[in-house]
Amino acid sequence: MAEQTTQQAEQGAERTPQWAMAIDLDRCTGCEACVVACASENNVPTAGEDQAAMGRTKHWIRIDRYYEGEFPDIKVKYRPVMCQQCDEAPCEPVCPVNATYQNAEGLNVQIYNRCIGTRYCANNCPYTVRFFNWFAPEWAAPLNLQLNPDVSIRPAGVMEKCTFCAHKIKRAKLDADAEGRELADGDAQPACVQSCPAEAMVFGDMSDADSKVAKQLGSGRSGQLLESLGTKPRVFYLEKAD
Amino acid sequence: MDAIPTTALTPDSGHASVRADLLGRMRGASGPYLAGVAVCGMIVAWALFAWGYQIVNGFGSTGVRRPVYWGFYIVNFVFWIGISHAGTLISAILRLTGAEWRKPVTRAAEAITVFCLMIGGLFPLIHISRPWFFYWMLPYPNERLLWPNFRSPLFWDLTAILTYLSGSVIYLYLPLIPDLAELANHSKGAKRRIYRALSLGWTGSDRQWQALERSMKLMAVVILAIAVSVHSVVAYDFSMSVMPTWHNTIFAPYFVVGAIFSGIAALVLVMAALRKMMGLERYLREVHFVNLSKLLLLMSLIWGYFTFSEHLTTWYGNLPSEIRVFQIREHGLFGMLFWTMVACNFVIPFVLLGISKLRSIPTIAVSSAAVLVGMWLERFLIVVPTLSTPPLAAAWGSYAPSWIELSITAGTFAAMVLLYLLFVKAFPIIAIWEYDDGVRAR
Amino acid sequence: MEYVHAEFSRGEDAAAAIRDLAAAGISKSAMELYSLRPVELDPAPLARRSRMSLAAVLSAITVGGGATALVYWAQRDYPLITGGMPINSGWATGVVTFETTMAGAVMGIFAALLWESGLLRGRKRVPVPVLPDRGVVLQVAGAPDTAGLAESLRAAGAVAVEVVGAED
Repeated sequence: MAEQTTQQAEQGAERTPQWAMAIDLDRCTGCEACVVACASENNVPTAGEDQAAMGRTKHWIRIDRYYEGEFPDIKVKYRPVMCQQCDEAPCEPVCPVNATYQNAEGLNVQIYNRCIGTRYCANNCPYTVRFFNWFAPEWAAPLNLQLNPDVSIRPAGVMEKCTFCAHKIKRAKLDADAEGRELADGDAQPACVQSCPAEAMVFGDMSDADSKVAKQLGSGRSGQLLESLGTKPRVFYLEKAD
Repeated sequence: MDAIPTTALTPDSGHASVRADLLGRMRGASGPYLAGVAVCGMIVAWALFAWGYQIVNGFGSTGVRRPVYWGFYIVNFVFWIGISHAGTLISAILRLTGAEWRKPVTRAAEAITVFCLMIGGLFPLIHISRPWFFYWMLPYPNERLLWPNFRSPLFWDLTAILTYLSGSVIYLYLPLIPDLAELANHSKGAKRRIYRALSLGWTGSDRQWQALERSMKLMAVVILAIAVSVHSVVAYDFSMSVMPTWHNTIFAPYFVVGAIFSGIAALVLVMAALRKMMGLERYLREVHFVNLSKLLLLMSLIWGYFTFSEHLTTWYGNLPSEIRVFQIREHGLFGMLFWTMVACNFVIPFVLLGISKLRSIPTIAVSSAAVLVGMWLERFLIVVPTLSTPPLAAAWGSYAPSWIELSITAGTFAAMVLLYLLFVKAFPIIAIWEYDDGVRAR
Repeated sequence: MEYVHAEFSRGEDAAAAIRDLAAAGISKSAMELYSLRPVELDPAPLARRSRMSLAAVLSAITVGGGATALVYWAQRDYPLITGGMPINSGWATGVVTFETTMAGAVMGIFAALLWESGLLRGRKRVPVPVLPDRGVVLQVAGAPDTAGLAESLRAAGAVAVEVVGAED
């Protein structure tokens, strides 16, 4: 234990990044490129027809649609929703085995190996963004040939969710270390952010005032989903005030 | 409380005749008895097969789905833990208040507690998808210094249920010790040795009696506190969450009241069955049923009051996320279940037990059965509607159990009957030594 | 050692006999009552001091305190932040403290029962009288004059009196 604490202290000297994401809803076109990118990046299994009909599909990121007005004068608003990486996450304290907790960089991490499958965390997530592995994962061919070696396959009976592409954050840090430089803004990019053609999503360290994401958060248009619950999400939605 | 009329058992029918009568009922097994054991055994075996199927094939073989991640298993868990309050209420409260009529009733009630806890305590195991890692919830020392999360209501559940189970096993065992000694004295061979060992060498000395009675009084106090806390903790599983209508301060007392309510109903049903099938009319008299029915009626009124308060508060507050749950609970399929629940838990007991002319053993048994149905529905209506309408409408969903959940649910009811059938042949269902203080040495 | 067994049909008679014997100088610790049902007389003829409540309280404090300390140290040494809660807080530990305290009380009561009833302790080879269906048996151990004692017990209202030797 003592070892780990000193490690953390050394890292603290360097500055721990505080990851956050800003999603500009006024730019989002609802194209779902992020959904596809996420599934292929993170080895999210396909459910199959029967299971999908039961409501057992897994989408770490989904596009919620909100309709305004009556047909034909109708407006649709899209909102990509993934794990909000809450600072005060309701899912964390209810897990009896500590399989999910808050790490120093503000990520809400899920330890697949430790999960025993009480599914309490998923019940207590107001965003319903946690997904359960009902069976051992399967991919309809040829998706089984494109699995990402950087992301572990989750066994049957454990909970999973968006990680903010923690493996890509880690890779960015290792690359920066190898090149002997500081981690720069934009080095770490989750798959959804990378793939957004409208550039609606921005990811970065919100404790760094010069980062793109910090500037977005300061734009005066930002808000959080279900803010009144006090979960303090790390995902911010930018929206023009009506 | 009414005194027991001693018409059936005269003062002269002393200890020996009570003992001979009660021990005689333990011997032999009738055809219907064996048939009952066989049928229940088969249902339990089928349920075990279903559980095995679920473990081998994955948790997806149940009907649980997103967003209703909890289904029948949690409903059954709350239901069985609730019924287990029968023993505590009847035995501890009546023992502490010195209600003499409790004496033929206590053991039947305490046995319900132990069996229901065994069954209810199994549900968390059935409910988790990787039960072979269940021990990770226990705080045991290990090389990686991994501890359970002490803040989790599920960990609280674990401590509460383990405490309650060990406490109620001891509470059932204590007044059984003198009877075990008597059983040993009146049986032969291996049975005698087993009963003798279980009686811990009880001789009936005054020193032992004094210690036993003192320990039973203390246990009654402690077990009462544990019982109230256990169902509060079960309620905390829900009220610690942020989900609409679950996050609610009324839940702990509401659950405790519901637990005692369903516990009395289960006890009445068990007593009616014992009376009929074992011919215990001279011990379990109408006065016992009438007294218990008054308690049942009282709990029904308190339950109605709590239900009204909970729903009125939700409706009047009119918070968007809560009112949605309220509306689906009052309309459609859930609405049918809701009004059935109100009828079972309130209207039927209120009419059948509230009008004294209608109050008889059959009507008391009928209202008890209705209450059990109603209380199961209540738990279902707490668990499922809330989960099927999470705050973000995009995630709404539904739930229907698969054959696995239905089999396991049926299996637990069969297990309860089976355990009881075996219990009445192994131990006297009415405490021999306690039966009637009127004939003890004076 | 020799034991005198005197059967009384009423507990009150046995209690009176105990009082007389105690007045005659026989220690109460040499006397014991046996019955199939508890002899509930007030005051109890052979009242014994009990430390059961104390045992329950001490055990409750020990187990509850020990469990709370374990929770405290485990969380302090393995600090995982969940839900933005403090690492240690009385609210989150309250239920565990309560339940383990109660578990301690149960253990204390059961242990005290086993000890005080003599069920757990190494039993002296004391002969156990045959218990009548009604009434109680008074046992007097190691009286110097067994014949005289038997006589006086009969006079005190005993239904049957017998003298038995210990098995060893």
